[in-house]
Amino acid sequence: MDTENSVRHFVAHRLGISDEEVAFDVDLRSLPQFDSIHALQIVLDVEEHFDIEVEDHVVFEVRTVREFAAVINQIVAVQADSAVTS
Amino acid sequence: MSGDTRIALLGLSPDASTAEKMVLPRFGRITVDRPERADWERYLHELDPQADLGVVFVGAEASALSAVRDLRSVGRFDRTRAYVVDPGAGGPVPGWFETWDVEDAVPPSALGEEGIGQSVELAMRAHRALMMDELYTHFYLDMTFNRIFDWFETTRWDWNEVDLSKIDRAMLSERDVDFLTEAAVIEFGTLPGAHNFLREWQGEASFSSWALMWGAEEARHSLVQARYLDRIGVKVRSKHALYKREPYPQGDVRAATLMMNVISEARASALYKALSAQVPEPVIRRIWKLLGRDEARHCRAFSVFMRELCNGNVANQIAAMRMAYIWLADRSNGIKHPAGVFYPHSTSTDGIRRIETIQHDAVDAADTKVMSIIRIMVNDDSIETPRDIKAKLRSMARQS
Repeated sequence: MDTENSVRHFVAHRLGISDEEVAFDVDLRSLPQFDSIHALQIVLDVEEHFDIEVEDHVVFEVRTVREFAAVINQIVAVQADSAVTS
Repeated sequence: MSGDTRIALLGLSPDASTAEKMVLPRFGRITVDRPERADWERYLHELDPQADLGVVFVGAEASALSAVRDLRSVGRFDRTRAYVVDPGAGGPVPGWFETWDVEDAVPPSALGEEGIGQSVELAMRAHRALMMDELYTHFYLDMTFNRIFDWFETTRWDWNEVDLSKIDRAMLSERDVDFLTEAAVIEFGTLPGAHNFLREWQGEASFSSWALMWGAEEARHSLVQARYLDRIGVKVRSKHALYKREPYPQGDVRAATLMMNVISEARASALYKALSAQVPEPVIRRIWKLLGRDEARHCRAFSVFMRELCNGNVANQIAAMRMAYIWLADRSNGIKHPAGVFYPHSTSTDGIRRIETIQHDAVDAADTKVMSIIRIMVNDDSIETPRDIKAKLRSMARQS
């Protein structure tokens, strides 16, 4: 599963809805029941799944699945680079 | 025989109801057990752990005292309501009723075909009242409310300590008056907080009792500041109180709600202390000092009730930690406080932001205090930042 689909799955899982109900570009805060606690829980799921650490501001600022997936891909790439150079 | 509600009829006369099941509108389906007296102890020990034995009716033929003693010797039945069926019911009850927490004596007719429905209904209402209390204690004075009551009674400030006739208007700047007005308005947010506490803590007595004290103390905060303002010719409009009549979203985990209040009280205390330190006018300096002390007391009390819920309860710890992260990690729009977050249609969001500018590190100090409360709660000395809270949450999720 690619990053966008993984993130979409975590969002859907935490909100108790199907993956298809979460569009990649929908504002997450417009989804029913979505709140800061869900955002944190989704970030924790993502951190565990990708073995990364997401900055605090992302929890409060990220708006869409696509945006979040881009942040994750960036962190993963930086981690991979630093693993190669070290 | 699992996960269901049951009652037991023990040693009753042949006139008692022979129903095996009952359906009560308020409680649904109830299974009626009739263990033999000789099997009573075995019944108690072998009853499915998921079953909820709500009520026991013990007849005189069953040696009521020893049967009730057997019931009370099994810890899980401490909230099962016990009734003794006695033809002499209505007269004086023996002393052992209180010793062994027997609810009442009822006549045999109460368990007949016609009376049993009402008897079980009343008994189940008593049982449910106890089951709703997550932190049930046998005796009222063992409740945390009793333990912290005296501390609150003996440390509350008195109106005599505030002499509004001595206000020196000339010592106040426009900025001081702005802060004072906004502080009075922000405090109106505590009344919907009290409403929410009583809603969220339904079926509980200890924290609810303290929440009334808390609400009464908080109500004085708006009042004393509004009275001060009145003395200097500034009238606080009642619309500010009414803007906060809209209840904010009710929490779903009590420990998390308490964490939010630990944080907001710690921050409020720090801000009042900062206000007090910078204002030259002695009367308002005194008032803000007293209010800062009040908020610090409230923070401590909220943390006592929160630790009580979190002690040995990982689910509550996780809920409280999540809430802590949400309230501590993000200051992109200024510090979070319920009066601002939940009431964007009032002036409080901007008001808190303005007050916060007096002393930036005041809130840092408050949050440091909260971190120490969190460290104690989860017994982890390594937690110092919101990022550490997030890491702890990940590790707790892995273990749970």
